[in-house]
Amino acid sequence: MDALNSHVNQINALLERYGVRFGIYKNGVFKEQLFPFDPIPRIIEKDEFEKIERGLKQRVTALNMFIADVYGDKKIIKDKVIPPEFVYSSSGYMAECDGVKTPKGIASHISGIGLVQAKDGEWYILEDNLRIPSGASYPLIARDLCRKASPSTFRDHAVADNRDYVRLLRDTMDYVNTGGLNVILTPGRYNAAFFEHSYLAERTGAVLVSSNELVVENNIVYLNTALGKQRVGAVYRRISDEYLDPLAFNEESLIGVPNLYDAFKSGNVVILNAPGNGVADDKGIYYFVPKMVKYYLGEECITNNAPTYLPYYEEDMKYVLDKFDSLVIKDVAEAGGYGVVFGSSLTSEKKAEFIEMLKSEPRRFIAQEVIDFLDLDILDEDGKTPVPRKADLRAFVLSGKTTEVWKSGLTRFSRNSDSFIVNSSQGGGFKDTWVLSR
Amino acid sequence: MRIDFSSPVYNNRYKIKYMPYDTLRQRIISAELCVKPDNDGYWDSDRFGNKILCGTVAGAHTSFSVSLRGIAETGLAVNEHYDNDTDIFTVQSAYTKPGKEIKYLYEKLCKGAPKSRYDRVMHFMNGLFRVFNYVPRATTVKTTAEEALRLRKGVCQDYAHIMISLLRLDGIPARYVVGMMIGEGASHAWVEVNLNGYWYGIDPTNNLLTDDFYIKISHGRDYRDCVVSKGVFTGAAAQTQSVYARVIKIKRPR
Repeated sequence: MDALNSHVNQINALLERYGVRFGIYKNGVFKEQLFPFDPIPRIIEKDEFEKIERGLKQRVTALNMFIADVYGDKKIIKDKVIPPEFVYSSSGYMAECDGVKTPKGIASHISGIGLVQAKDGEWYILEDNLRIPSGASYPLIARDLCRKASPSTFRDHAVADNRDYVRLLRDTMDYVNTGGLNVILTPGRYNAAFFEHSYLAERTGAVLVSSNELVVENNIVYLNTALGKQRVGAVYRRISDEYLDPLAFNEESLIGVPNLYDAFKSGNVVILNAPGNGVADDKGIYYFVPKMVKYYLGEECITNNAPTYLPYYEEDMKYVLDKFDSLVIKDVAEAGGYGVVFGSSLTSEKKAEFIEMLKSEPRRFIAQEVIDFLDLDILDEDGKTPVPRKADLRAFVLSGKTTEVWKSGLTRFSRNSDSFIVNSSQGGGFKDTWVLSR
Repeated sequence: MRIDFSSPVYNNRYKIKYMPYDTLRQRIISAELCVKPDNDGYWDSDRFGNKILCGTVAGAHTSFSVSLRGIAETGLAVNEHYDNDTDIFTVQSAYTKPGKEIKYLYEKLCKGAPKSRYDRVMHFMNGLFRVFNYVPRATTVKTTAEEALRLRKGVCQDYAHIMISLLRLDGIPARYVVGMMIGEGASHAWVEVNLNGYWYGIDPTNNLLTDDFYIKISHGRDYRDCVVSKGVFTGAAAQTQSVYARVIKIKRPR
């Protein structure tokens, strides 16, 4: 592994050369920055990963059943397992999707599940991302470069090969494809994950397209090419629901393909991930995932949620007010590390203000115990000294013919030693994730 | 419904939600649809059962119009079909989300409110009618219930949104309705409330129960679900949309 450490500058230089960047908007200005790579891998033992794998398969299976139910029979609401408020007032709920069956019953084809490991070694789920989780390309390309920089490292260590992500993704698209091309729909050059869109298209053989290259005629989607129109069977879209189809969702959207959603409703094309999935990865719904697993599968939930309280319930509200200083409060409508407040960090004035807001809009917040993260070492700027940082793991689960967990994942770490927030949009970096194969 | 464009546009893809359909309370006897420029349209429906006319005008044009002439028989029943799947209408939606103003009015109206659900509906409607004034152009289609109540003035859309917000606060399922009524030169908006499983129409703008003067076109959680026209086109043009509706009473046809 020391071999890798000594090559860190070389690897980061190559990442820069390949354009592995992460775009962010700061004060309304688009800036691209490198996503710094740290050479010390996160290592997960074989047995440990097998348990995570079982848990994630179960979790994503239940989440897919939940999405089908919410836009179908709504049994889980009628049986009073989840209050209607948590479904219908979720910003991810799309009434337009009600009654629409997704091809082969899959709504979340590519799921990015956020985990953290606590000091006691236990893994906790922090969030489910069932809309357009990004980040799989970073460990893929980083591993590639590491292998080039130090081939012996991967001969001496039994690390599960992570190159099969490309096959998993292609198989998933092929399995649900309704006949025609696979395309990856990107919002374009000025998107945070544009590098990834082009990389995945190149590797899977899908065509990278922007919305003005697609046209819908008689509810069939075509790609305009120099050689004429070609039918599209699967759209792996990397643009969010509200910008997908201005006629179905946000009329003011300038990007998007008019009538794309009608084509999907008619069964003539598949959209990965399906529109409307946001209802299932809402921070409020997160609380109910263990209940979902029990309800749909009749099994105990294998994955652990971080202990979570819903101020919506009176009993939980009492607890939250009581233990406010030891909890982290999250706004369910926010993402990317925004809208996260540590109770202990507020001045008494700000605290009173926040509690007022909490009381008037209890549905808007969840509260969680602060997990004592297991820190991971990163190489300090001198390139020699290991220093501890908070880190999380985004695991990728692909649902096609079967549900598979990719034996790798994106490990992100916080930039500063005092920060708990690892989101790349807040300036953190990433590591490779090694799953040992024996 | 007519849209005028300041310069020619093409590839105009449209979706029009403005076609009354048969319900327990009304029957469409005849309907004659005319879309200009002529094109191949088709019918679709949304998750609430509203009818949508969809299509594309491919060639260049500077105006687009949809006109509908027909005869509807109304006042056939006092309520709509039995429906106990009302969860989605018990939850506040984008336009009806209450803030300080609505919560304050609600609490004020709750003092001395009657017990029965029907009486409460009437009580809230009377209460709203007393404090809110009909003033055209005081609000826009984007005004929420809370914003309109703060102004104390607005149009039928605002009356309906505030009424729905109050009812949902009280745990009574309520939905937004777009339609036409005798005497209005444009479309009208009102509210349906679900009492013991049946939907009843109330018109908070006029502080009345709906009767045979009303023809319903669509319903949904709020204005968002009942937008009359949506469209995208290619071309750089400003557009002006006008909706004209006239309802006259004729003798019951044979």
